[in-house]
Amino acid sequence: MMHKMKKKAQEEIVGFVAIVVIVAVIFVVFLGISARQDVPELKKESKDIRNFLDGSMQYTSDCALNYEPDYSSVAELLKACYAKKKCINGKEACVELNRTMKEITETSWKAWKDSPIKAYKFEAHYSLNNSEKTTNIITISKGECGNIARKADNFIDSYPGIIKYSFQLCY
Amino acid sequence: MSFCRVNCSKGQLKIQEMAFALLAIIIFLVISGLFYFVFKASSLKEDVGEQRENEAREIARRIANTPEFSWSTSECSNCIDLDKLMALKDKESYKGFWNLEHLRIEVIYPVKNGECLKVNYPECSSITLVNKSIAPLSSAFVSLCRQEFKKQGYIKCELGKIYAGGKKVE
Repeated sequence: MMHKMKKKAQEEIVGFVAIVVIVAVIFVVFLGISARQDVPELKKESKDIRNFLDGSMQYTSDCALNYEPDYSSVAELLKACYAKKKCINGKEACVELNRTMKEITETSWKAWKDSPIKAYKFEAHYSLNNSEKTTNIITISKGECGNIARKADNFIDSYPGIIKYSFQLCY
Repeated sequence: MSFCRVNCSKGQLKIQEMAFALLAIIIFLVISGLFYFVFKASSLKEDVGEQRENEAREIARRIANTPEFSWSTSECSNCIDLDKLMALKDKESYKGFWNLEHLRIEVIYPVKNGECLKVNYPECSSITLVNKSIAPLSSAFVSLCRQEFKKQGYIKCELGKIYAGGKKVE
């Protein structure tokens, strides 16, 4: 009789444990689905970065490559930097590009001072069409870029290849 | 099951057990459902907020592309013509045209200060077109282009932001 009761109690415990395990599995699956749904939200934010990149590329710098006042945009400076050209005022296009992009990024950063963003990185590479070999033109970064939160990239034509540029914010 | 200790048959006991088990399952489902709806309601609030922000961002993008704002060159489709905005700023016929609570354009780089007036333009930072109330604002980076008259004249584009806010939905 005692042996029968003990066996029944064991069965009840096994049943209880089974239910707990099932509920735990359902909970983990539910959490997994929720976490997966969060990923596109981070991607969506990159529209802002894309707007920032487009706006930055149009910015008129203080560097005139041919004559004054035909000042180059940042996009034109990227091409000039790759071609190692100089501005009319004698400054290197790359130096001017570096300074301008750094100032633009630093100033725009202030707009996000209340956000948890801790680092950023801007880079531009030149690559020939259909070629995987790339040449770095510029890299500007601040802070440790561990987890990428938001990123956007674009390219401009620079015959015979293209210049790809990207900006990422990290936190 | 003390009330069944004497009279209840084994079958009745089984039925009672089943009833209790069903009751426990129903209680569990109800509690789970409550948790789910509370969770869903909170995420729904976030979704609504996000949706509003997206709409405002879309408004900002669309405003930047209207003929009244856009820089008339194919090279820069998302550029805003600052000179046009200064001309629009004091136009009585455009009051209420945007159907927004707030609409402002601000120069981010280079750093400048103050609201733009005819006396200090272009050495100023913001052009406020609508300022009915402090609505929840959405912003988008834009390129702000204008005619620069220094050094024989050239086109100068700066980095800015457009801020737009609609009516607050309760």
